Amino acid sequence: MARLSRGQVLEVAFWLAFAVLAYAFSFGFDREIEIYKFGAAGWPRVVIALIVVAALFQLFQAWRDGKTKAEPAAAKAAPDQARSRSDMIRIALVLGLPVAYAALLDISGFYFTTPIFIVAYLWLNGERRIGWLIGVPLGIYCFLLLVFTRLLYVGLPIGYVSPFYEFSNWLLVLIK
Amino acid sequence: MENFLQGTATLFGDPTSIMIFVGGLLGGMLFGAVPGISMLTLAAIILPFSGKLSASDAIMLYSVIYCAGVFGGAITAILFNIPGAPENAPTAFDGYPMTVKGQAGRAVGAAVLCSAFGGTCSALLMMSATPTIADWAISALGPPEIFALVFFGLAVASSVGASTLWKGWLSVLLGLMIATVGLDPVGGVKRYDFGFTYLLAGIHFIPTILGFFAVSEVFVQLEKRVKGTYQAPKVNLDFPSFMEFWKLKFAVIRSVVIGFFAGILPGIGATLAAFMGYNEAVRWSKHKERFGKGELEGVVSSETANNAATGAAMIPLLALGLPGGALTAMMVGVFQIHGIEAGPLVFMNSNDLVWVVFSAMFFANIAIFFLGWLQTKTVVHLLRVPFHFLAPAILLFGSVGAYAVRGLALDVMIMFIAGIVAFFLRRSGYSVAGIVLGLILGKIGEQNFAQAMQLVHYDPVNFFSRPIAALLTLGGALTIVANVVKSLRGTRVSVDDESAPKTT
Repeated sequence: MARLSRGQVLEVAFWLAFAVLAYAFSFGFDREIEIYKFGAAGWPRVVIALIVVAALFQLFQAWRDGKTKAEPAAAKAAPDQARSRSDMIRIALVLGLPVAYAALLDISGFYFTTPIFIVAYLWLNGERRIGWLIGVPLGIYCFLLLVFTRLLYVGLPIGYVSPFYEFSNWLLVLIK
Repeated sequence: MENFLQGTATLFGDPTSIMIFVGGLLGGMLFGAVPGISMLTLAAIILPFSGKLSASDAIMLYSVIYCAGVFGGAITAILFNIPGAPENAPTAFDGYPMTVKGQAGRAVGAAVLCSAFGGTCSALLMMSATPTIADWAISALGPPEIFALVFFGLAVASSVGASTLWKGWLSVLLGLMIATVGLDPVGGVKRYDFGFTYLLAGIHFIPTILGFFAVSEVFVQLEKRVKGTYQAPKVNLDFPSFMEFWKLKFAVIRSVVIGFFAGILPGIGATLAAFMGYNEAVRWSKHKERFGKGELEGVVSSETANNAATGAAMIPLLALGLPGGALTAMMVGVFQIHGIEAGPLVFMNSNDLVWVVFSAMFFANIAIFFLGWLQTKTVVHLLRVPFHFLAPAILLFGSVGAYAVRGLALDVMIMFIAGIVAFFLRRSGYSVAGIVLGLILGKIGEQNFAQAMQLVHYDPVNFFSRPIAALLTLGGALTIVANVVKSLRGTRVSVDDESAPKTT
């Protein structure tokens, strides 16, 4: 195993665990279909078996090539370790903020959440000039409202919690 | 010829028809080129109003939107890694890396020319051979052939874009697994729904594609900004030279043929055409390792094939009443709004309408050539906008696009989660292109496999007695064996390169 990095082993372990879980869950729909001999679980199980085969071959290839020809992930591990903690936090926020935005869409609505998201994302990405922090979100927000709400009548989430719901409706009346 | 001239005269003899033609052309190009929305958005919006137009104007409008929209989607695929439609996804594989390298003008220029060329060839073929090809396609291409075609496509796709062959296969297989979520295509049995009603309809490919391409690209670029390694793409308006195209003549002709015949297949249409065109370009290339890093041939093959499929998609639609994709499905709706049944009787009862549509598609493709150059000159300048300003705009356009599909905020969440997953997979050398191909072709493959097995009574001899199915299956198997042998011998050239953009 000395010829394999920890990342490579973990990667293959992930695929094998994924395959085991997928196979276990496939018993939930392992039912015969009258018109189809292989049933609903046939196709997914073939795919799962192929995942196991490909993952094992991937492990074999990584072992054969050894650490000298390490995988891209492993090759990048060194700079990753050197990256400062603040950079890691910023990257986590870059990935996490849009997820938080998506989670809030149904609750506080598109119309309220979007401008806040744009300002926060610009700030997170290093924009500190107050003019741009106001101007860019305003431009993007107005463009989105003009195109999707005013011209295309796309129904966007308005939220279900007060006062966001009232705000969205007030804005919609104003725009239309 | 007489029919074509008559169709042209009808099209350009009425000012209203001309306005509708121009409106459809500009609308399709614009909607195709705006990140987050697509020609389908436009087509869906105007569907209720199409009843107010004459039947020939309404059908003509949709056919023009189809041609222009497929081209327009290439612009965002190349400039921002956001395919306007699934059929533009392979264009992004090499188009976006070309943008990163400062060759956006070359990539978009190639897309303009190849879209126009592929579409025009397809329109000509469609006009000359619709009844004959329709007859042949009905008898020759059944579920076994379509499954074999999907198998062949997946076999080739596994060798594109990943750092090793096995990671390529794992990418494709992950896509196939994602495609199994929801109701199974044969018996309607719930699979991997975990009790969520949302998952019964499966994971929709539009939010997933937006996540895999657009969102992950935003994350990759922003990570570079955080690490201080970000370099803005250079804006360049150098179009490809005639000699560059001449060198790619075989790729173009091959893609026209692939695109046209893939476009005939009902339910698959331009998406399979684009992937097949791209895959074949990789398979026949002497420089496979260049694909996914900004190879002009990748853009040329994908764009020629997907536009070549636009004309072909009209064949099953008009001859059989079978739509080849989402937009042609809407066209069936337009037919119904006007009390016309799409199918063989259209040629007998509404021959004028058919030829107006054929003429409009022919001229739309010619117009794309000229308008496309103008669009290129203007749209490319979007790259001058600092990326941290573009990033929230791209994410929000994507969010609206994902939400608009089914009116579900959960689709927006799926898009961002797909983006995060793709961000990590790309860092580890997996192929986003492979996942997307597996996702799109997974359901088609499973459905046709099930139908094929019932058709051949589960007997492999019956399956291989069909020459086209046997040939395609054999081709796929040989591709797999050749790639595995190369991989085991260690002769496979790694496509991973620190300097290259990790687009696929």
